[in-house]
Amino acid sequence: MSELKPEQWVDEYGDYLYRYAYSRLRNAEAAEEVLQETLLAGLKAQSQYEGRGSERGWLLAILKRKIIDFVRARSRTQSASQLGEEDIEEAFFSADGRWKEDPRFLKESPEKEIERQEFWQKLSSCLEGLSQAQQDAFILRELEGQSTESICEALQVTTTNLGVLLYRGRLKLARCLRGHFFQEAEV
Amino acid sequence: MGKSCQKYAKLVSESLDRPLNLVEKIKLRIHLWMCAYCSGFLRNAQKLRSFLQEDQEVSPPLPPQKQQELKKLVQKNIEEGTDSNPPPDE
Repeated sequence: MSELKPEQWVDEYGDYLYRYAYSRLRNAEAAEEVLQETLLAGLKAQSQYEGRGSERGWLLAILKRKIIDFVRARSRTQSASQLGEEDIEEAFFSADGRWKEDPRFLKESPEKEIERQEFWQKLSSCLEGLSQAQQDAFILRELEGQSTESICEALQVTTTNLGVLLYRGRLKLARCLRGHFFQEAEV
Repeated sequence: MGKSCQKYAKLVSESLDRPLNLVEKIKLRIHLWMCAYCSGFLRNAQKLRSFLQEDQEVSPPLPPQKQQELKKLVQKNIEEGTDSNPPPDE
C-alpha cells in the first residue's frame, strides 16, 4: 500500500507532468493550465486512490484526461470559425482520381532548434484549419499515440469514420505545410 | 501518377493506423513503386509522425515561478481540507 503525499506533488512530479503536457499541447500557458487542473483534481479525488500503482502514474492518468478535455474544448472554440470548409479531396484530386497538386510537404525532418520551433508553430496554425473531429483524431493518434480503438471510443466514431478523419486531416496538413517546408525538385 | 491515386492515398493514410491485409499491401506496394506523389505522401506522413514522437523530448521545464505558485495553491487546498469534499464525478 502506498499513500499520496500531495504536499510533495509539485516538487516531485511538477516538472515531469508539465513536460508531458507541453509535449502534447505545444503551448506553455496551456500546459500550465492543464497541470494546475490536474493537481486540483488530484487533491479532490484523493479518496479514490487505491494505493495500487505509483503516485506518478495516478497523476499522469488524471493529466491525460485533462489534456483530452483541453484539446476538445480548444477545438470546439476554434471550429466556429471554420464555416464553408472546402472539400480537401476535391482540392487535391481531379474527378478521375489523379493528383492535381503535389502532396509532398516535407523534404527533411526539421533538425535545428530554430527549424523545429518554426515547424511546431506552423503545424499548430495548420491544425486550426482542420475540423474539430479531424484535429481531435490527429492529436490523439499522432501526439498521444493512442490506438485507433481507443480514439474511436473517445470520439464516438466508427473505424471507417476515423480512417476518413485522419486521411482528410493528413491531406489538409500536407497542403498547409507544403508551401513552407517542401523544397524537393519536381519529378 | 494515375487515375487510382485518390484510392491509394486513402490506403496510404490507413496503413499508418491499421495493419493492411495482404492484397492491400501488395497492391499498395506496386502502386507506390510507380507513383512518386503517393510514395512521397507516405514518406512525408511517416516523417511527420516520427518528428512528432521524437521531438517530445525537447519540452522546456516547468517555469520556477509557476512551480512556486502551484506549490502555494496545493498547500492552501490541503490546509482547507479538500479531502472532505465529495470526489468529482468523472
